[in-house]
Amino acid sequence: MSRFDDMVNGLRDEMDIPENVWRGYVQTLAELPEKGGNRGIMKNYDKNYGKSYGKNQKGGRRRKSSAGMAYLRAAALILISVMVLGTGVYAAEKYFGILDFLRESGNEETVPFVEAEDLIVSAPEQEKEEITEGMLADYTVKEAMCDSDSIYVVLEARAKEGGRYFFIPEDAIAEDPISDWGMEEGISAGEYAASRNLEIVHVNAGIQNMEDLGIAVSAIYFQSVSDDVMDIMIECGKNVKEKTLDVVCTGIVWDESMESMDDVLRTEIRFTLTDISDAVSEAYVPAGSAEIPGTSAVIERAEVTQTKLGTYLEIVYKDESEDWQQMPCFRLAGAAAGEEHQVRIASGTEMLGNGENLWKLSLTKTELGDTIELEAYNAETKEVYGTFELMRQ
Amino acid sequence: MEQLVKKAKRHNKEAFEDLMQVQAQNMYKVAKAILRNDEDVLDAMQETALTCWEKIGSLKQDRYFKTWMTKILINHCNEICRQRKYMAPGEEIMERGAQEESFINVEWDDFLNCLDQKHRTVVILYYVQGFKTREVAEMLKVNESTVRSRLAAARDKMERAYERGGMAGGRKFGARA
Repeated sequence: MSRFDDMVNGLRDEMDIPENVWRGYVQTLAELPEKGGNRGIMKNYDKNYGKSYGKNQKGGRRRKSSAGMAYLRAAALILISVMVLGTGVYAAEKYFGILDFLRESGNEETVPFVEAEDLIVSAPEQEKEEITEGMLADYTVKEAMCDSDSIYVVLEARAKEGGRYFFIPEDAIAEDPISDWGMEEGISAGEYAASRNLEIVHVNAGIQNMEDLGIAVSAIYFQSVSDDVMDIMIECGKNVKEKTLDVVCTGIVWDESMESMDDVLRTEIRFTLTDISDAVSEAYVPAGSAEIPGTSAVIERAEVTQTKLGTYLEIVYKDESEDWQQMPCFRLAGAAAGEEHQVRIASGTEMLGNGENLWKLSLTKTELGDTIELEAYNAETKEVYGTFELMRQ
Repeated sequence: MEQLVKKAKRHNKEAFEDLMQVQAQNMYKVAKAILRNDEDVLDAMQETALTCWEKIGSLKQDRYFKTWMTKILINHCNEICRQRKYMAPGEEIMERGAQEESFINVEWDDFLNCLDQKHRTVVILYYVQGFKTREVAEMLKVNESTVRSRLAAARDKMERAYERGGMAGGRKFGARA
């Protein structure tokens, strides 16, 4: 991780809003005018409030939504995480596939690769449309995989004109070392491009219809295949349950000479992805009291979906108070609890209506028995509310 | 969040209050990056809350609440800048009060000192708030390529400042007190 990333991570950390700002803001919210009423009288800056800056206001109303904030924060972190891999450059005829990306990103022990191979679709039938004229690169979906609640797509950006461009990730700058996206020489992108008289071009890809697919978060990985060929993997969790998914990806290209957002070159690629995972779902219900102490929440049930690759856990609980400050988060406890890295993606609280809420965990493959233990906790204060046993129905 | 937005659009004050409290930290970070002064930050947050309450009925798609709210916030911040004549051409220099000095963490301190307002704003919107460059461009009413070049320049400045061993305060980036 670069120093810049360290810095940005520090900025992303939750911070205490100064008490005088918080009080003035909350007061404004508490004194909202009726619709169409007069406004402007409730603004207040409490300059004389005690100098308690930076003090942790546990029990106060600083952040009502611990789970919600945790979710938003997690989403922001993952959405913009551009991960790059440090491996050798691949021969031009070979591409970097889903398993290669997973292996290089440290999942060799947690992803059962043999089973994953069965789910991977190579070169799916796809429709391409160049949205802008003069596109410099051909984008192709090389592989795709749907495992119940997760989607993986590998796209390749290949220059139409060989020997002219040097592809780097969208977020990279000329000073970044090329080893950041898997090239071996220890020089910067700018130096490398200059030494070969190549033009630097930024490339990236993403899923466009995230809302349709119920995708909240995604991570993007880059691997250079050659100077002007870049493989890009998108990994995301999804909420929709349909077995057949219409996926729309967008590949983009831009360079420093472009002056307007209209200049960014785009290609749209559509393909259909089918969830062929052998997902098996089982319901668990509380074995004893399901009331969570210190909150108004009551655990109703949990649904565990097992695939060959992963375990997806949905916990439904009732809490009509809408007291976000006390709203619980959940994690596995007892024998099934493992290291933190077993959680691939943790969602946040999703309101289902009628006081029902959903908490979802995407885990690496975890065998669960007839009973599971869940620990309810407060993400903000770290307070553990209690441990609850649920039995398979 | 969309449930809260739906309720707020039906003039449910409690839902709107909850919604805006959830957004408070995001708002504070954006406004702080633009204005620096806490009194003005609060002013912008309050104005934004009032505008959102008045206009939330006009929000067409609930899922874009955060984007819509952030645009409003930036407009209010810009208005305050104009009123206060904060920004000299190029880079503004704000004298930070003692209260911010004691509250703010090291990363923020360095961040505020290292970059000028236009670069701070794009860094916060893109890297911290997670907006896309296209959305940032729309919010700031600049070209997307301008956003990208500002991001690259900001990153460059921050890295270079770190390498130099510190900014105005003489502290290194990322070094925790």
